[in-house]
Amino acid sequence: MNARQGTVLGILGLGIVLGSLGIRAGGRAPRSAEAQEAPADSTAATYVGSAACADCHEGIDHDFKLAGHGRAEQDSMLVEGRVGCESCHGPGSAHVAADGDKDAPGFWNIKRPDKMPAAQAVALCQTCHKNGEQLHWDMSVHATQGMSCMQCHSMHQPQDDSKKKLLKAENTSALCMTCHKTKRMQLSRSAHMPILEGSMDCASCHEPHGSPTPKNLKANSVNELCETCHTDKRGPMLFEHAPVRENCLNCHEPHGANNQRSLASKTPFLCQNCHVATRHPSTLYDQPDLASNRLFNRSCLNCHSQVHGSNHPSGKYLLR
Amino acid sequence: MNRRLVVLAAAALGLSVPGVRNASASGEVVFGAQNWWQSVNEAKYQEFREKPNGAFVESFLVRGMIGRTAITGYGSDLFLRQQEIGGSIDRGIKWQLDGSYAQLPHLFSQMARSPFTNMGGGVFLLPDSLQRQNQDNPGGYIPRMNSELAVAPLIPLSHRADVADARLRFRPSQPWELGLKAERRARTGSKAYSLSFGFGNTNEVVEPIDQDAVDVSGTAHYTRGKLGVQVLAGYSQFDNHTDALTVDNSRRATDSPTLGSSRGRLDLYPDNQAIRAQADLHYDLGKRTQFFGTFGASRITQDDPWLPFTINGAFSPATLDSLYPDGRRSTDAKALRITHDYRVLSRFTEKLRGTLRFRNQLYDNQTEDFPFRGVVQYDQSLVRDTVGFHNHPFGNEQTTMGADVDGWLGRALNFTVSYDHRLREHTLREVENDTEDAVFGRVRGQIADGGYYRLDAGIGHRTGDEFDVEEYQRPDQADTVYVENPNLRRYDVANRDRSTAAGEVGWALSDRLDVSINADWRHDDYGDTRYGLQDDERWMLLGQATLGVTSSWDLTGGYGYGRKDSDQGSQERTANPQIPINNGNLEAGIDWTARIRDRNDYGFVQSTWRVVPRTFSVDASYWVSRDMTDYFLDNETNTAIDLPSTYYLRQEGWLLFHYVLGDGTELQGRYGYDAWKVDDFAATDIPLLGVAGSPAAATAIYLGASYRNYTAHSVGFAVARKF
Repeated sequence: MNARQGTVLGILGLGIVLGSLGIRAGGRAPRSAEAQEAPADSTAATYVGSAACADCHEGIDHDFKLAGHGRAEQDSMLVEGRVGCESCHGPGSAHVAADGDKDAPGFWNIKRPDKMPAAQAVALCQTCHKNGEQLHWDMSVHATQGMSCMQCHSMHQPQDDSKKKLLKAENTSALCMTCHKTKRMQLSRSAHMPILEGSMDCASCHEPHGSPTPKNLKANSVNELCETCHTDKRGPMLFEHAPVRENCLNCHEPHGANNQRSLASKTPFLCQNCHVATRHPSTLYDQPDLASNRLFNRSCLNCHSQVHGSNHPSGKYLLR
Repeated sequence: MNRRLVVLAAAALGLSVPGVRNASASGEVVFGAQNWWQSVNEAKYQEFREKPNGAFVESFLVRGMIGRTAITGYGSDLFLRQQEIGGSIDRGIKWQLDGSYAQLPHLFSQMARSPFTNMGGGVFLLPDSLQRQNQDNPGGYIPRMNSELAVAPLIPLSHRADVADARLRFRPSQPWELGLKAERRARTGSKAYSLSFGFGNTNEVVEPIDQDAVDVSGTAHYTRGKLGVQVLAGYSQFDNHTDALTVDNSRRATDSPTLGSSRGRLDLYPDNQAIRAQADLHYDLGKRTQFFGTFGASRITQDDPWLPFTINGAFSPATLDSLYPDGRRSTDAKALRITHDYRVLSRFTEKLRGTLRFRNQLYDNQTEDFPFRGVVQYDQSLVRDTVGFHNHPFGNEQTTMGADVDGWLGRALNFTVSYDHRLREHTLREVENDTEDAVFGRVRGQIADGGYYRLDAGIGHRTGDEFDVEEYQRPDQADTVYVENPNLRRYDVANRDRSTAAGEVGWALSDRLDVSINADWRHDDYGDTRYGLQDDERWMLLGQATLGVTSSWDLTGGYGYGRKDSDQGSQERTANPQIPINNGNLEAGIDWTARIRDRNDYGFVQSTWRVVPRTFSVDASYWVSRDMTDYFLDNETNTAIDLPSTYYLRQEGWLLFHYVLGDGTELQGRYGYDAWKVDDFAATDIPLLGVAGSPAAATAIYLGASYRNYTAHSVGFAVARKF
């Protein structure tokens, strides 16, 4: 173990010590399952139907109908065999009877998933959402952090334009970056994916509900993910470039970089990390070489344009 | 149809609210008009989005009911290059049919120029007379080409992906859900590409892009009680409608087996196909234990016919035929991808959870290894090889076995501890097997006054089992001769110590002020590497605060700084065709090193002022990102001169006025500011012809697609209406 690794372990140890000293709990951070309130007791109430809800919650009713859950009203296979608001909120008769009086005992006799412990809220959502993207939820990083569906999704007043994802922000990326703050900084770099521009979002590559692939990727490997859009590079080629075939991230920084094409380092230096052969691959290109085509414009790629692989019989050096 | 008329018609549709309401539909629409001005025509302003200059429909969403069937339509940026439109018909959750069409533009340059005439099909020609003059009188090449390039037409460099998809989901009964999906992704346009006729004679040209990728898949999900299963089968086909790029040689009009070719030709990405299947399983084993399993397999094939070894007609067909391996004329490439991922997750107690993980990923490249008897480099030089140029079908396999323990010890302390043991195999590489042991820990929780913290740390140690120096040698030459420097260790397979740490802390200093600090750090130490990447360290620090200045004015701002230092070593050898090794005594006089330092500044501020609550508000935002890179070069003789630093500055600001009318309508006034400033020796002031005084590059032809500084302003208004 070197000194830096010792420092890293020290930081971790310090965190454990601080935590075990019982730092007093507060309230604004994302709450774990143990940190949240118990649900209201709704056993005494009966079902009254969604129309009764709309009398008071008119604004919510408008946005709810526009959003995905609105259409679930048309289906009978729902939570507790009920349709509409009460399928998630439970029987509402006591709440309706309170007539808006927050001091009336029945007013709070309604399920509020956003106030439930995360595990309970997730279980409620999983009544319907257990398939597909949600299959791996329980082993996802977000579940491990004790997150609830309600931290990202708003059933009543989603902010995303199409209301398809029921997000609490105008788009997926903005939502993710409320916690993953440094990613916003990286994505602002000169070379970046079109995420801030809206052509892609974090969920284009990552599956926030969990995935068996590290980093919650939406494919089984980095390369399979990249090839979803960059299918032209899928190959296999006749002449392969080994690091390309193994992992696109050997050369590219997907969240943004200082170099064109989001390269981890500027060419020729990126190439020279792996090529120290005779003549031009190992030449030191410094200031007197500024006009050289080895340093200028596309640098090595001015000639070796087939850097992702060539299917040409004369393409051994990725020139053809 | 005039685009503006269409936009206005769509806007009118949004205004015809009463009619829509009678049909029991509801929805939202945002439309308006905008104008913008840019100081110079630099593509970066619209790199991934066309800015509307005139009327626009920013977004719409309409939902209506016919009986119990819901119909939804939505769209954004209509009639712009990034427009998206879609809709769905559904009957509750029993079935749903979705369809969408989206355009994803990428604008590269608006100032590229090219003297080549695009003949279609990837063929680019120069006037024969020009080639003849350049061949017969090479001394006049530079002035002659400068005259030609001065009148070369502008060629916009951009491409666009048009993505159309359709999906049907169907629930025949409670535990089942079936799905079908089809997607077509068509890419059209052009981008800069290069074709070289030898050292110093690069011809940068426009690569025509005309590609199609189609993907179809079917899924079935079954969920009942403790069991959840989903299976997927899919097929993907990629077609490149431009097979090759054929470009005239600016310096030659006739083909010669020794002096070069009148044309060059390179092979563009070949068509390929992939068939895939995957099964995911989740089973509740009881006793708070769950099993998750994933098995995925895909087979990729590619069998595009090879182009001839060269387009240079001076080589006889018999000569070229002798170079093929055993009469083969295509790669017949095949690769198998297999993924296994199995996990057992057990909640020992309410506050303690453990996971065991096994993951294996195989990329089995089953393509044959061919011995080519020679190649024709640059379409001008036939290089024969006695042992054969081999194609090296690289493959790889990665296995990870790991365990996690997650604990919830109360609000103040939650923790995760992970251990991974990774094994990798790299077929045909100098390091065929390596292993890595990694430990990761995280603690997080809440602290006083609404605060929270998170600390991550990890270490990993990767070692290769053996370095096979023969991969740097040729079998037909002496053991003391190396194609690559034997002291090179490529960073993707080199021994490595990785250390990571990250942290976040946030707290409320008062009822009106929240602050947070984030930090990330990663250090890769390639301690055994003499040549190649030796060290890579990066860190980032970001602080931000939200202040409620008054009850109606919120202010958020932040500043971040990041830095990355990478060190590499190399050894310069300019003449010898191979590296002779003299008993391990390397020539230190020609060693050189580079330290490349990236620095990043980032700052932002956002303000929301509710001037008249629920009626009139003003939003303002501004962010700036400054990316700088320094190149510190050194060599044993202290003659290396650092390269100039590169500098990129992006700024964007918005001012938005919102005025809410009473009936679900909002009026918006908008002002936008955008600026871009660049100083990069490789990307600014790119000439059309190689720079005089640099003999190696003086005859090269470029597109001149430089970055240029610009500022841009936009002013517009919009109407947002709910109905």
